Amino acid sequence: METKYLELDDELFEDVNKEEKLKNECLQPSLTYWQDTWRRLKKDKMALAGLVIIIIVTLLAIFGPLISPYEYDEQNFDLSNQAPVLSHPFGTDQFGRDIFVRVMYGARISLSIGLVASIINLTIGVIYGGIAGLKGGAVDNIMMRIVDILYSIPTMIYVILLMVIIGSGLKSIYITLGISYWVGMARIVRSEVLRIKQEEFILAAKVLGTSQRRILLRHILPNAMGPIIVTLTLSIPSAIFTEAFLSFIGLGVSAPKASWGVLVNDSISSLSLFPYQLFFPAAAICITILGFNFLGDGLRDALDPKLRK
Amino acid sequence: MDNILEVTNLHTSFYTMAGEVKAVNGLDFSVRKGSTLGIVGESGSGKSVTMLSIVKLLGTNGKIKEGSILFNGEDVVDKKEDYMQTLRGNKIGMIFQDPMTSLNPVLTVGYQICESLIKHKNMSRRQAEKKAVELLSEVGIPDPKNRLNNYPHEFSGGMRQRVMIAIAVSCNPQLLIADEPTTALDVTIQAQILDLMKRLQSELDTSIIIITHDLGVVADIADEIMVMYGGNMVEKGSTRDIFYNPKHPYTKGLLRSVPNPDKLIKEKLIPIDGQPPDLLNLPKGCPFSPRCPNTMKICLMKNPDLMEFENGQKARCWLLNKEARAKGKVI
Amino acid sequence: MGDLVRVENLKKYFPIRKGILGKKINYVKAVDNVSFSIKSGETLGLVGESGCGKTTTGRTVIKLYEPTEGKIYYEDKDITNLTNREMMSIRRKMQMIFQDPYASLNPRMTVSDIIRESMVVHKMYNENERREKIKELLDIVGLNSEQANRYPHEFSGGQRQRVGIARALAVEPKFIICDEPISALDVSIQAQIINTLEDLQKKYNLTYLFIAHDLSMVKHISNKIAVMYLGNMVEVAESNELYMNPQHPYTKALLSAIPIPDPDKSKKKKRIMLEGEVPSPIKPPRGCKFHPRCKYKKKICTEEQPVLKDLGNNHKIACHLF
Repeated sequence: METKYLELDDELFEDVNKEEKLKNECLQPSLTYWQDTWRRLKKDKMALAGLVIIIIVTLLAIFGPLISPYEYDEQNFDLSNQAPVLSHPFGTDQFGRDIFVRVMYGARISLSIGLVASIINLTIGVIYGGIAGLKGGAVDNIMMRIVDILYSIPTMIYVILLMVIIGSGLKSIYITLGISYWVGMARIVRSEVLRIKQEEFILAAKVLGTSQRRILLRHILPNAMGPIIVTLTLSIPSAIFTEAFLSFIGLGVSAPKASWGVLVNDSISSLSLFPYQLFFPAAAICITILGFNFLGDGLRDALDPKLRK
Repeated sequence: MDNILEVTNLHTSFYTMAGEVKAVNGLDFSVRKGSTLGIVGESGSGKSVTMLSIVKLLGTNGKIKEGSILFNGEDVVDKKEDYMQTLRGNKIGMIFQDPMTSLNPVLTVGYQICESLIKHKNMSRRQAEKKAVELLSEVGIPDPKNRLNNYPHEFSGGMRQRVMIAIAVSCNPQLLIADEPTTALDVTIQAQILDLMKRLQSELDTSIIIITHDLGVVADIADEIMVMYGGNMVEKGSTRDIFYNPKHPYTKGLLRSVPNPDKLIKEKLIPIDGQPPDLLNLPKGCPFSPRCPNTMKICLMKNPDLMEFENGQKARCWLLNKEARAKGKVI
Repeated sequence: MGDLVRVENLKKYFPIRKGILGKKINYVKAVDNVSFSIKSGETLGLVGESGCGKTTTGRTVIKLYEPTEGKIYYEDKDITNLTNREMMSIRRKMQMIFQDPYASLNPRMTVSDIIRESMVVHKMYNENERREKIKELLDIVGLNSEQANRYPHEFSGGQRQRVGIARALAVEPKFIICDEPISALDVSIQAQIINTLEDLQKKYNLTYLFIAHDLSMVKHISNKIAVMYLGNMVEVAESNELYMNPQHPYTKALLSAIPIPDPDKSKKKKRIMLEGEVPSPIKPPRGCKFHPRCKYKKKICTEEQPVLKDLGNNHKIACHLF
């Protein structure tokens, strides 16, 4: 140890130039926000399972009815109430309709409901909440009181009123969603906007004279994307569930259309004899809703800035 | 036994999504009984992690990988949480940067002071309350009797830090660790708090470790200074030696980069080039090499060992070896 | 006159509202009757402790807040009551650098987007010219232009602060408000940023309003220093004059409290300990706002608020002792 340094070559004690010096300073690979989020999400097994479920359900909903040899409303009284066999993996119902194709068709309706709910959330909810948060003061106060009122009226009342006016069917479910489903999103977006509005980079944008519209679209909303996406993913299952429930009690989609709620409703009368008629659509509802919830929870963890670094 | 604390070859790492963060790499230092050690360093130098390692508050993803920490001659590295709880707040007092987050907002200040007295000193509530009033008046809080029933948010920043100090010294600790105790405070309040710490030290004869980035603060309060960079000590010595005879280029750079307000003619500041190191990707060799004005080939290859001087000053730099070699001295 | 920016009797009161109707029950007098002027190419340092209103002063001058009272002149033009649209041309001339380099850059935008944004908002240059300009700006503030497509979180504090400076420079301003630009940075980096700011000032003849609580840095960079206490300006002087010959009891205490990075001088230094803390700006004391903490208070101090008096030598002070 004592003589160690004397043995070192003199050459080692020569100065190095700047380039060589800086080479020693390594930079981390660049990762954007979304790459980073994806990296986290990939590590979350449950969220990935959820994502896979959603993809499978979506694929089945789009292509399943096209490939299947049966039509969703094709009746065959010779084969009524058949137990699951190879040709009818989920069995048939009292009219001999293939339940597998009907469940896949139901997935179309459920996913379309999910899609409509997210579009409504993204447009009305985000814009409404964004404006309320950005304007603040009296405007905010009035807009949020309107939201409170909408929130306090039970969904059933809209539905029944709408049924009276335009009759039951998918259209009235869409309208119901349109009236009430963006309320939660509006609240989330508003509170996010209020939070981000205080950040210094918004002040910097104001110092530049950036217009309010540009501040909202370029600076605030991209930073609120995390909570928006999570709320979106978690609101889809509740929309799907609402549709299933409404159809189940006979206020939504009606036969021969095959929503999951209708399928469950149809099976109730013969539940003790043919339980599989209930099991498959019910399982479809469960799995899909679980899938979205898993993904939503995973996204929340992956997007949460507090867990970053 | 002269040293209240002896740290040898301490390695502490944090395990994050992005990989292992080597926050402290092979640190050796000691604190003499009754003295004040100032730890100076910038963000990522490992100064706060050193302190958290001593009291073993590293959270779930931090771990002491190697080394020993002797407190009063006893190694605390392998001690269980139960044992640490008998040390923390009792024999080791702690003061943090932000007094708002280190006080519990839903409990009264009096309750929080009494808590540790009852726990560690087996006092009755009445005794503890009496002592708490004494402590609060000791740290300069007016009307201490009534203030006991107030909540932390009813105090100003400086007053909260005084309360923190009262809690930290309540059990007459042998060691007081203060992590940036005045960073969140205004200068006039900072002067008050430093004054208070100095007074308490002479009254209670505790040892103090004060962690700060402010050279002015350590010049005022510390007996010895340890300068940290990139997870290790680069220089240690008496306060006067560090300020008037710094050996390490980083210490020299730090001292040059602060303005001297006594000069009437404006001189340009001499900053240290480059950026603080990224603990995820520490440079090879000496961590300061990318920013050093005198980098040599060997600096990029190997981190130098500590070199001790006759006056007890220690520094970790190849330049010192080069000088010694030039004189033909064996180190 | 040569004054680029002049502020006269500026006041900014924030109402405290209560109840659903938002009735104003009281005011926070954040800035109360502040006047100053800055010559073109010079730096005015604004110092004071937290809550003294220095940041609010800066933000009101650049009209992030509407002033409650008083006048703001830019190049002798009254900009106090300009509409947002009329302000646009002024905004190009006045920019701001912020305290927290972590919060002041939009985390979802790359560095080049952040700098481009300034030029897009002011419709400057075409897209190709902008790209060139971004490179040039990064070079000026000492950043590697290869890193232009990285996000703020990939940079260290000092580098981010440089991005903030590049963003401000993009619109070619003449006047920059630096709101505590170095207090969040490491000591070894502070000097880098100060030097960059000084170099830019020389190169582009910039005028700074430098807001900070670190008196030694303010003294280093400023030509003139103004000291604020609880919304009032208590003393203004050339920086050497203020440092060597402070007159106001508060300035004296503030200067004596600066920790000096020099153990021998630090031991010799006589500290003037102020008692108590800054009172709440909601209920400021009557008369001179400093009187509850002042050793030399007289009867008049509790009754009447002192005004700024010129002691000669451009040294102004608001204190009844003079």
